[in-house]
Amino acid sequence: MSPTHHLPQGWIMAWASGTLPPAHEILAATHLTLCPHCRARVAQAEEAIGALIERETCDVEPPEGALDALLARLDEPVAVATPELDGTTDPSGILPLPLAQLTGPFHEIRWRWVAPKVKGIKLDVPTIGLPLRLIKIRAGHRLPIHDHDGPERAIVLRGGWRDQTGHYRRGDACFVSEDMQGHEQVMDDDTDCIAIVLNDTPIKARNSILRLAASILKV
Amino acid sequence: MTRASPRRVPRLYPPPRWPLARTRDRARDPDQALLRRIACDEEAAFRTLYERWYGKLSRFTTSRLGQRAYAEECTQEIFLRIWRSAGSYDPGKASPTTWIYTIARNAVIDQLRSRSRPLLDQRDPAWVPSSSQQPCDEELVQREIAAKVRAAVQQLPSAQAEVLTKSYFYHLTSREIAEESGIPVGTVKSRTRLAMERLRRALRWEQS
Repeated sequence: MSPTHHLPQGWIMAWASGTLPPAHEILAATHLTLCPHCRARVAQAEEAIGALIERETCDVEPPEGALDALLARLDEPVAVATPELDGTTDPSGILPLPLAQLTGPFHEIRWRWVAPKVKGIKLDVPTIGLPLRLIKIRAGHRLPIHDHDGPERAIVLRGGWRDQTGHYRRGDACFVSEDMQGHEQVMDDDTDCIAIVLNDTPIKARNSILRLAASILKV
Repeated sequence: MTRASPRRVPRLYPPPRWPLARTRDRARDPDQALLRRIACDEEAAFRTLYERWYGKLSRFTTSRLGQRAYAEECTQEIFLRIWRSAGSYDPGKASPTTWIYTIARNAVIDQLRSRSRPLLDQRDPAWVPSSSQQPCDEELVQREIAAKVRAAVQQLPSAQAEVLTKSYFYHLTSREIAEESGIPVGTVKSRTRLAMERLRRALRWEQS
């Protein structure tokens, strides 16, 4: 089934122009693998940039000898354009390729405790805020009500959740703005929820005991 | 993993196997004709394409990479990729300009980072295909949408098209565009907003 919650148009334009930061690119690539609708939007954005280029005039002259140097390289041996995927995909099909290349197959992931009924791993991708995380939350679990100081972007990979903004299932992009207060997420009952999540700033639990515990445990 | 090969990637050309209807509206596109000839290893066509595209690609790489020497190296790499993969260009999927642009964009990203852009690959077990049953129908729809996109962009006022080009192709900031164009930053932002609004209305794009 295709996702129903999509990437914002700004992300589509940034993906098409190649200007998304690395962690955002992983999120976008994960969604795009699962979402034919957004792939079509990317194709439109690329076509729009192509049409803009056609309107552009630019009369920069190449340095002397540049074309001859290039022509001399035309018959150089090259690597095959399409790389082999063996060993880099996730056989379970849960993790799209952009993630599987970072984590390895899903069943080999060594999950770490994050909070009660929540496990996760950090992904080795540069970010400006908190690390990009793959998280697993127990089916049916209700996360403590929390506030956001910065934006949160998540892509659901298995299971799903409901919050004030909607119901999110596999492939859906759940983007929460920085002014979201009282965020309340309840996981679906059918299976443990798997998602990738990127926060710029830590979320703040409303419950003061949980907040204290989070600051001590640095989660 | 990649494997070394002394040969270029397999060609789709010659002869072209695309249905005439798919290519008719681009038949007069000089770049498409050049790509077809380049796919047949015609060096003269490659020279012509180089002359047509050097300026735009050179400015693109310079604005994205900063240093002139890196930019020139990357520009050469883009032309090499065009030469090697011209045979895989499918006019049913994208215009020649869009195809060349995506090659240039990916080459710049490869140059900027040790890690390449994440792969989108239809062989991925997680890949969700389009719901369309007939690939030909899907391509026709894509072609119609692409034509609509191009018409919407062509109808943009020059000043608005210019700020979009500088923003999305050359990746300049609003401040850099303002300095280069000699206009206030606020004007750059309002032109960008108006241009995106026009495209959104014409193409029913969702809000950012």
